[in-house]
Amino acid sequence: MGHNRFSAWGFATTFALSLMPAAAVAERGDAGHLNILYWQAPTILNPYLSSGPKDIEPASMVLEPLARYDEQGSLTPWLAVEIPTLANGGISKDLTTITWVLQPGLTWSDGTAVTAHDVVFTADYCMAPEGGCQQATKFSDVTQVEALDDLTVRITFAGSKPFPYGPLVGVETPILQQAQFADCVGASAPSCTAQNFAPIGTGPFRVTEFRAGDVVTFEANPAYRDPAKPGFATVTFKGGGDAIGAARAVLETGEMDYAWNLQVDPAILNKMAESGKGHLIRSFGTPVERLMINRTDPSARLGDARSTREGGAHPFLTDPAVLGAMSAAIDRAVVAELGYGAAGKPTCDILPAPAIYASTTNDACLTQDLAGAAQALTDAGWVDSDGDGVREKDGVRLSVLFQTSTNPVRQDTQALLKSWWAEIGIETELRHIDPSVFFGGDQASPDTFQKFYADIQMFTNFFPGTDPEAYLNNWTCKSIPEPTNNWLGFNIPRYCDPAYDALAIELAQTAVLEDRAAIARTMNDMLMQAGALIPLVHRGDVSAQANTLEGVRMNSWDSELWNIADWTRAK
Amino acid sequence: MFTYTLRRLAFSVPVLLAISLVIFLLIDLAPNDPTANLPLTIPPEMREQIRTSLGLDAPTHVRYLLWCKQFFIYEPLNLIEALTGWGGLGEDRLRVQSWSARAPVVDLIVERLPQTLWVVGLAMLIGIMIALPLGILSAYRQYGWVDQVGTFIAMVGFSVPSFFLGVLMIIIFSVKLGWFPSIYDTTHKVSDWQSFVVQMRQMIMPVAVLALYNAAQFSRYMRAAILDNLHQDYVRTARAKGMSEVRVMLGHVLRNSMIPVVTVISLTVPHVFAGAIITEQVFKVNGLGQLLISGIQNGDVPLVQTLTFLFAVLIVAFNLMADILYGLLDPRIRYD
Repeated sequence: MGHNRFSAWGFATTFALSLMPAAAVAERGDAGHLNILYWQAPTILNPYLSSGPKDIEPASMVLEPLARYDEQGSLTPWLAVEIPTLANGGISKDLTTITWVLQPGLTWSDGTAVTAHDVVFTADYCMAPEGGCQQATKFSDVTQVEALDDLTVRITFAGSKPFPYGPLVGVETPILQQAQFADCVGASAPSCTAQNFAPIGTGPFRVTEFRAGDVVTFEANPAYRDPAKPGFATVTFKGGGDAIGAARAVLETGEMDYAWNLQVDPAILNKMAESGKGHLIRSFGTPVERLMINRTDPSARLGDARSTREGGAHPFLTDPAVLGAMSAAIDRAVVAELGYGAAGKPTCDILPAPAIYASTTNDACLTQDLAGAAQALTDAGWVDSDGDGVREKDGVRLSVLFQTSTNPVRQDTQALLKSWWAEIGIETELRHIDPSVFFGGDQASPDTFQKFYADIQMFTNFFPGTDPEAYLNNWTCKSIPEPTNNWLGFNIPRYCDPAYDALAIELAQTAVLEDRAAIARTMNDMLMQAGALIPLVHRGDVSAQANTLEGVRMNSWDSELWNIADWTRAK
Repeated sequence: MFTYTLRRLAFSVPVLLAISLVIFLLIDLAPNDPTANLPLTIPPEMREQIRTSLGLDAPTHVRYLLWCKQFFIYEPLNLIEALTGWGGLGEDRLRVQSWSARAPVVDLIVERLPQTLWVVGLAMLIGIMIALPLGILSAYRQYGWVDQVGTFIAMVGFSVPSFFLGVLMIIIFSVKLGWFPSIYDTTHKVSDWQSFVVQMRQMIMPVAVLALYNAAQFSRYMRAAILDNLHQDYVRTARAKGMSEVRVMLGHVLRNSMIPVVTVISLTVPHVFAGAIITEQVFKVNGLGQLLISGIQNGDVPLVQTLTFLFAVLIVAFNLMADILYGLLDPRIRYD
């Protein structure tokens, strides 16, 4: 392998030198072959039938949406001419419709024209009942999608929609070709194997062979709109194995050019990167590893009322002094470095990105302050009167049950927090639960994250896209998981504040981006100051790329392969 | 013999049906959820709709009978049509569909068979080819150097797990020396000498890991069986009659010693089709073993059910084959 590559290099250099003036003009496919490794293998290439990134990202090489997010999280027109706004008239005054205009002259990879009817068809395809469309929530309040002419599509929402960039925007909801999928609507959607394995798209590549759960091969789309792109002529998209093996194939053996989602011990990754064949790249989206504080009483003696508002408030985890002290006792930089390495940075916000939404009000928590935390507890009347190392007040001991999903990084973090809390006189009992049970949502299990039969729990959550409205709605009163709603809902801390709910309603009626950002920051600050959640680490994505690969702009807001048309091989 | 075989075949039908029911119930009762791996942002109502669209809302017995109908009636019919090219073309029979790939399970299995047979099958063959002579020599010269080396190799093969040995080989031969690829290319087609060499190079490491384990296992059985027979009276008689050592060993001792070894080998052959779950993962061979494990991870019940049932069929079939082979090896064994 080694010397082969070397001789190819030598050849490339001579070749480039001899053709100096011509080399400035890149041609489609002149970078040759690209090898991508996703250690979770793709099993289908239709994003409407699978919401896993392992399927959506390879599909994004073929299928494209009207608009997508760039690596900064900004909305960028893709198949559309421009982003519709109130200002340019693309969004109606009453905020109920959005009108997209397609770029003229777009063609599918089979040479036929892309029209507004394809866009309408795609929406109908996902909204068809019994189709099992996994992106249906993106269309949940869409009442009508219609073609005004061959290039113009109008989407009408049931009510006013201040952020109407959900349907047909981003990696999850690209445009399908009506001619190909016409017979695949509704109940027959899953049985259209040939279509789901090789969709016809507008993207820089088209599928030549698909082996479910193993490998996909692509070739450059001859009808792609930019004649100079894509840089690579063919792509092998291999799946399988594990994250460490994937990292090794790029960083150590150099067999692969790009490997995705390397959730590996940072020490191992850094060691591998020393081989010099490739390097690690990272980007930060919205995932935050956070502690959820149970504001209701999880005590087992309450029976069915435990961890519900009916059972009453938590004996001490609603006291701002205790919550502030617990947060201040944590050295977030150490947690981030030990558990996540390059893929984590300390954060004090539940909404740390995109930049426009990030608040700076809570940044004091970035510095650990054990002495201050202990003093705050003493000042609030929490003292260790019986000398057992645990503080108490009015007969209530500061003793918490802290649970999370089984995962080595989380167990390390648990142990760290336990030791810091012990230093300020808070006793911690640790528990970890198998992820399939913890996240499984089984109504009968007492160990799910929604039931929250513990005082504190830890996991990561995030929101897709860049608009935090739905995410912030998670902490309104009506989202509290309770027996009456079958424990559904994401308000895990059982936080309920009418002022917060009022802001959520205001956010739903605000259309101007800057105003939305201001409200979102306020909501984030309310949650942080109430201590309902204690954010720990802003988690990023880590991938690896070969040193010879150029043009990669890693993106946490969309597919990592969103600009694969621009990728080339270093000359 | 013939009636015995027929009787056994007839008896295996209810056995297999019972097995299929047990497998179905086991998988069904185990906590698994095909939507568990979806991002947390997918709301629960949506998950419920996805489950419904997969048919999970039907009662257990309905789903079992549906699977039986698809597997025992539709799939064979499809196979016959595909082979003969006639019959109800255009007829809409719902085949056993994988939930994660939304493709017929049988097609997925057929797609995976070549790499599994190449890698795991070859490892089995090589393992047997090493094990039989090694076992015979080890027993013939017990405690000689061949025996000592053989025992050492067998111990290593038994005790070093494949996930360790595989990664160790990758680090030595792929990372340090750069001789072999660490990723198996399933799309590679052998058309000439050059591509054959490429195929060999990508197969060497996984085959070596698996063959070592197979050789270790079989050689110990072979050695033990020969040792048992070497001290029997008939061996002394044969030698006293002046037969050559080769004739004694290969004609008499080996034939009698093969019975336990045939049992072990024939019960291992179905494992070839089951793939080598760990080794396939390590080298990214993506054969049947990887298909099974990814099916389990994705909660893909039809896929796991069909694969497990096919393994059960193979195990029953090879058990029967072993019984018949006994009769050939030892004429005293008669089933009539």
